[in-house]
Amino acid sequence: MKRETTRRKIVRTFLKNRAALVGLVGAVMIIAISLMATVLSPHDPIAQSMGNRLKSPSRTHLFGTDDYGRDLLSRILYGSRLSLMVGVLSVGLGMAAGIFMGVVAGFKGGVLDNIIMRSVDIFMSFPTLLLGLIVLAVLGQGMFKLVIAIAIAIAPRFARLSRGSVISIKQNDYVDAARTIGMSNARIMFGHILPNIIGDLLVMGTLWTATAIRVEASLSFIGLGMPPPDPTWGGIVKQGIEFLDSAPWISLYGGLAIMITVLCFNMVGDGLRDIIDPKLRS
Amino acid sequence: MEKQTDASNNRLLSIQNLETHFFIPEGLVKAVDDVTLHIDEGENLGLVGESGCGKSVTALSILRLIPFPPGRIVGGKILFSGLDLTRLPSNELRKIRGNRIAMVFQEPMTSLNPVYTIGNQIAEVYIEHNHFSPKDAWEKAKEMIEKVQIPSPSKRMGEYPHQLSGGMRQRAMIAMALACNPQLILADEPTTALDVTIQAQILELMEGLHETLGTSILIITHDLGVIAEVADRVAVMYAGKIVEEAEVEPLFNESLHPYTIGLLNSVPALGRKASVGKKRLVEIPGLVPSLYDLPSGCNFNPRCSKKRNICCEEEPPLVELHPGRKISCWAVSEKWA
Amino acid sequence: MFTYAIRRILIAIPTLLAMLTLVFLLVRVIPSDPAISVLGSYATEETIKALRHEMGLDRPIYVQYFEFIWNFTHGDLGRSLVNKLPIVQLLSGVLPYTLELAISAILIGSILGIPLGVLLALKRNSFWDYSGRIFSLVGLSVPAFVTGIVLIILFSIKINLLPVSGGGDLDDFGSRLHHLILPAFSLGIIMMAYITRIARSSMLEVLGADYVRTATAKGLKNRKVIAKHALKNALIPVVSVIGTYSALIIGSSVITEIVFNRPGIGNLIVGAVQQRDYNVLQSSMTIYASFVILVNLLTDLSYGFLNPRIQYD
Repeated sequence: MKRETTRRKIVRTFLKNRAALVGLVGAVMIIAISLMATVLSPHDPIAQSMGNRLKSPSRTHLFGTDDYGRDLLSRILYGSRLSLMVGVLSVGLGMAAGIFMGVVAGFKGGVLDNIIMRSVDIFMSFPTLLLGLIVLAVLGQGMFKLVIAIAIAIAPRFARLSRGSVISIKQNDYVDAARTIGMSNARIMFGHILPNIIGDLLVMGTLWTATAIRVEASLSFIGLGMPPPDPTWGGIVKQGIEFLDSAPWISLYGGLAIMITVLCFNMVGDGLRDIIDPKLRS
Repeated sequence: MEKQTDASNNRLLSIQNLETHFFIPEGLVKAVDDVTLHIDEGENLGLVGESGCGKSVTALSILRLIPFPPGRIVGGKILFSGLDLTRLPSNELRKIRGNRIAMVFQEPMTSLNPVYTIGNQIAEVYIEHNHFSPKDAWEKAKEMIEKVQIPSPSKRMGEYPHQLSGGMRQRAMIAMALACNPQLILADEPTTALDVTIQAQILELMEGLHETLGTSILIITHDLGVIAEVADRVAVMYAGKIVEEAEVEPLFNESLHPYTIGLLNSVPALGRKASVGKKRLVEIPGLVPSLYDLPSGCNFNPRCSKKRNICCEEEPPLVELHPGRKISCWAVSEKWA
Repeated sequence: MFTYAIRRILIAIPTLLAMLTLVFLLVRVIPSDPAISVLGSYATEETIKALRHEMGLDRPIYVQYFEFIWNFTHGDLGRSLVNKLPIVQLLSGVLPYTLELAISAILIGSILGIPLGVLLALKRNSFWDYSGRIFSLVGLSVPAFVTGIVLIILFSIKINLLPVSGGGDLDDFGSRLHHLILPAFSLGIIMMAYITRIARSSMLEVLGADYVRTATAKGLKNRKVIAKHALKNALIPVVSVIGTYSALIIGSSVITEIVFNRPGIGNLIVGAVQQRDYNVLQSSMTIYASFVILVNLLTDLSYGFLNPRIQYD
């Protein structure tokens, strides 16, 4: 009974936070749009039309065209699918891998714990972008490789989070009690660890999705994302750089798409953190 | 009723019908609800009650230290040597703070700034109010540290709060408060955060300084032993209101309000005040109400053994039975009427 | 403080070693062959093998590793697998540009961000506060190339004030400065967004602290309460976080160098990635890693300097 009202209170507090609300609406809309990209796109994103190059925004091409005559709006819509998928998948993978490592490290302790956590520290001290860059240099291009590259940067954070939770729970007597009645380690761990960190998982997950989308855009910008002619937001911006004076809309609309998406997720994550953190602190 | 007129104007501090309210999401909290108190020159007033009864808020209101949001003083007067502190412009008030009225807080660890030496924190009071040069201020601060009996004063002056023990930190806070020789000190639970043995030392120190310097002290505490040690008169607060006021001996020996009696009964008998406590520890049934959800009538009525019908309907007024003896209780006023 | 400093410095060394190892391993996992990328995919087996031997790539991996570490500590970063030039030479040609970019961005972010954050805290919930917070959120949501592009459009294209590309003459300070302004600000704005947020929340927390109440109760002027008692305490968490965000800025500087077509390690790395030049990639990464470690070390030391609890323990 009590838990229900706390949950409702959390939702109510979240809804009062205007920025978080706007972010949530925005994020949901962006996700919906990207899911319907194939339906919503007015043109084929990779169809070139050399007679239509660098046309400024008009009624047929709401965002204008790029230097191959391709419709920018369609390219951006298709690009959203990649960005969101990479964003969500890399966080999912990073979370899963990170939690697994953290729980193992915390539970086993000793040398294994030390090795895992030292590695975590090393990975964490690399700037995310550089880490992704070097991993992609190694693995090559492709969507799943992108996901893995970013997940490698994300996993250490979740490893730290879950290990901390394991350590503090291990110290509780009820773990021993549970064990004496024959509960398996796995059940103990997942029964107690996960509920303990679920708030933090939510906050970190949302914020890291924002970061993942941003990093994916940066990696695509460098040229390490999906190979052409697949549209990526970063790639679109990169292409547009040559034409900043003649056709600034290419880079600007691409950049705007990235910024708004990342911003929405950040606003939601911030709103969640404002709720979860003070609760945890008290 | 109260004898207003000249008497209140000659008092050192006269709080009249003070109302300090807090506006929180759950509702309106009347932390201080129509409180009237006074302190004369050279006397110590004890303000006693459980946590949350409004005693700290009363003290903070005197120096207008109530954080807004969520709280503010909404009514009443606080006269200090004739000046109404609630209406004083801020730069005038600033000259009184730390200078003529000083405050000692409960938690010396968090109340002292961790990144400055205690010498620095005491000296700055001299610099601010007496306009001493930094060098002179430092010397005076050292003298003060000696006065509060902190050993090796020169060494301690250059130390940071985390390097001192709890008792020494509290002494440092007292030094800071006494620096400009204030007429009134507001001591908010000055010994609560300390070990029992240190508590005694600090109280002795405060009593001694009171004797030598003539400073009046408003001593706020939930600990009746502290009251017995330091106070000349006592006011008992419950849920934002004063329920009883008397000189210290009569309060302990012939307490009238059911809450006061309950408090005294729940204190184990110790030392020379053994006559104060009874043989068995008796607790007051029930819980302190949340201040935004108060019972109708007398705030104490759900827990009161002497409850009458009228107690649930009307709030009892604060009645002066004879000079210096006030009580807010239907049962008692009836008996004495 | 002394033991703290020594401990911090000593920890930095194995951290550096570990980062070097990580870089070495990562680079070695590359499936395709630098020899092939130099010779082209039509080269014969023998020529490939000969080139690999010349490049030292057929030796056992631990030999290559020890040689790498040994050389690094002696300042020898090897030679580019592609053009045979000593990497130290390649790097020293571009290092100044990267350094000046990263350092100015970090400085801009900190020097502008801290006062802004403090001011926002003092004007809590005012219009300025809300605007400031939105600006911060946008600043940290935007990738470095977007800020670069916007600045280019505003200051190079609309108003032909600042150059679009290049790093300026190595020897001409004025020219270097001219080429530094836009890129430094495009990165600096992002750093500023992070720092402003931390400074604001730290200041807010400090303003509610007991010792600030004590300072007010002592009758100190409001300006003194804020500038003396609140500020120093609020700065401590901010300083400790500058190191973390500097790492982010250092990483993003790669992007900024590409946008502004600046000479620098970032551009060097991108080239090395395309050409599978292990050595350049590896050495450039280690330079970045060392820079990150250095910045973190400096941050830790300043933190110790500001916080008396570290000094006197």
